[in-house]
Amino acid sequence: MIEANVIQVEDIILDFPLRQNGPAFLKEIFTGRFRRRKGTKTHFRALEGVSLEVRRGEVLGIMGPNGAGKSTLLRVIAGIYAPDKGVVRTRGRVTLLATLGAGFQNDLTGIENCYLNGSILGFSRKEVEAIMPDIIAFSGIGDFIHQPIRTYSSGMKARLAFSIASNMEPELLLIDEILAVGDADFVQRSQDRIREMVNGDATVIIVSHRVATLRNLCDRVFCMHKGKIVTDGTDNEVAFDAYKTYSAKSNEGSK
Amino acid sequence: MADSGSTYAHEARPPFFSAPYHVVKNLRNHSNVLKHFIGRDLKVNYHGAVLGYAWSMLEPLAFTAIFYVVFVILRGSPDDQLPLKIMIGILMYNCFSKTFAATTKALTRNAGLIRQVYLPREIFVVSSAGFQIMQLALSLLILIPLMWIWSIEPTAHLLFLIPAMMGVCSVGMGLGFMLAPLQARVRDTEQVVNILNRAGFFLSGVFYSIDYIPDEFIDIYTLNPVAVFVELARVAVYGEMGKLTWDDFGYSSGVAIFLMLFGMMIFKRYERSVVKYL
Repeated sequence: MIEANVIQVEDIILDFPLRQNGPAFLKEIFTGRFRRRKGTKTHFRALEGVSLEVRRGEVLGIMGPNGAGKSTLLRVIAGIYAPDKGVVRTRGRVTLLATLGAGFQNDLTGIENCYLNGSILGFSRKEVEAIMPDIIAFSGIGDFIHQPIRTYSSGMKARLAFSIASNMEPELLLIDEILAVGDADFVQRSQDRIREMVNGDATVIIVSHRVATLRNLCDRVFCMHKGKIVTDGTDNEVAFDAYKTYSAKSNEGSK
Repeated sequence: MADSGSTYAHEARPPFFSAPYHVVKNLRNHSNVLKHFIGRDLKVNYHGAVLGYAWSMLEPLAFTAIFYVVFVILRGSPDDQLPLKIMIGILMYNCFSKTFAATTKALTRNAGLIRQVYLPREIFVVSSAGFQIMQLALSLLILIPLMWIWSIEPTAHLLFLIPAMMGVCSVGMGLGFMLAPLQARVRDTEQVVNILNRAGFFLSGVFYSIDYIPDEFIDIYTLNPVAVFVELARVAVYGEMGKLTWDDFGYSSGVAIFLMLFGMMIFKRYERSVVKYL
């Protein structure tokens, strides 16, 4: 079972609806199915036939210019978006770290938010309880942990959120660009923490724009462009080069 | 099966008839989150209030006092039980209307969270409904002192409060299950729900009890399951069935269960595709 694929993505296609205008949209509801004007684009194809296989314990990096579909791909793997075509199979508990502090409630205390956020990320009360000392120590929040997080500075909130997420022991971890929060010292500690998590048993997919980070952490790196994976993952340097080429190209277009 | 060994695959077609089974299974697997959401809503609702949860009871108590002044003292109504009957009606109907409105908006209200983390989306609907039924249960505690004041003997009929509460809540949640995906697609839905709730208020025996309905209209009146469950709560307090029959109770329970099951089927059929619109 060691070599088993824990994440298997087969030929995923995902379309996003383009929002229609008010009255036009109302009209479309009643008549759209029968009389759709020719030539109007109603959908944007975010993922166009993406396939991916991740083995247990592997660390995968995904790069790509803005809008390439990286975050969307992670959300499909996490189960947030159901693909329009294709299949996603995952084995084990998937934890997506896209936004820190999902579901944080200002009027609840730090402790209460730890349990709430932990449960949203898929961990039981006992699991959160077990790592509570680590969370408090790592975040460096001290006695404020018993205060409503409304009284926290934004840095404190971010530190608490990161501490919860990074002290959990996930099986399949999807990380979407959340690496820099808090002051310089905390950024350094969180980088180290991510490295620890990645070097542990977890299977990880990291989406990042930082070549250095991915070169350090990842076994395989893929590059995405316009909803497709454009490199084959055998040579990481090829993916980095492709990333540089494509992001240069897309930045040129915006000038 | 343990979490770590499970395989999760997105099927091309969501289930339809087996949807209630999947909903129950997901809720059991995520009961932790469900409890946290309901607890969070309860805590946040009375956050910072000195009297806290006591407000759930003080509010209906104040209502009763107001109705007493308006109906018994000012209008000289011969029925001095009227304030209590109206209060029960309001609590029960509010639970229905708030559940209906909150579950309809469950997806749009939690859009941020839904886009960030994966949770079975039925959790948002069920936790909204769970919060409302907890609120109702707290509020109904005020019946203890009020029944004492009105010297109403408690009877075994009080147990009817449980199906009555579950009844109003499940009708609201069943309808909410159906409309939540539509609300995600077309935000006008919640406005329509507000109007329906307002209309239902006058059709569900809130300001009058079933005794005021002429006999020839009773059969039509009891077609409305919410009206039956509202009346059932009064039956529970006063300890006599009055004009309500067991048939009404059976029929309304059937409607409530049907709405829940059918609501879940509709919800599971459409929730996946509407996430993109959130």
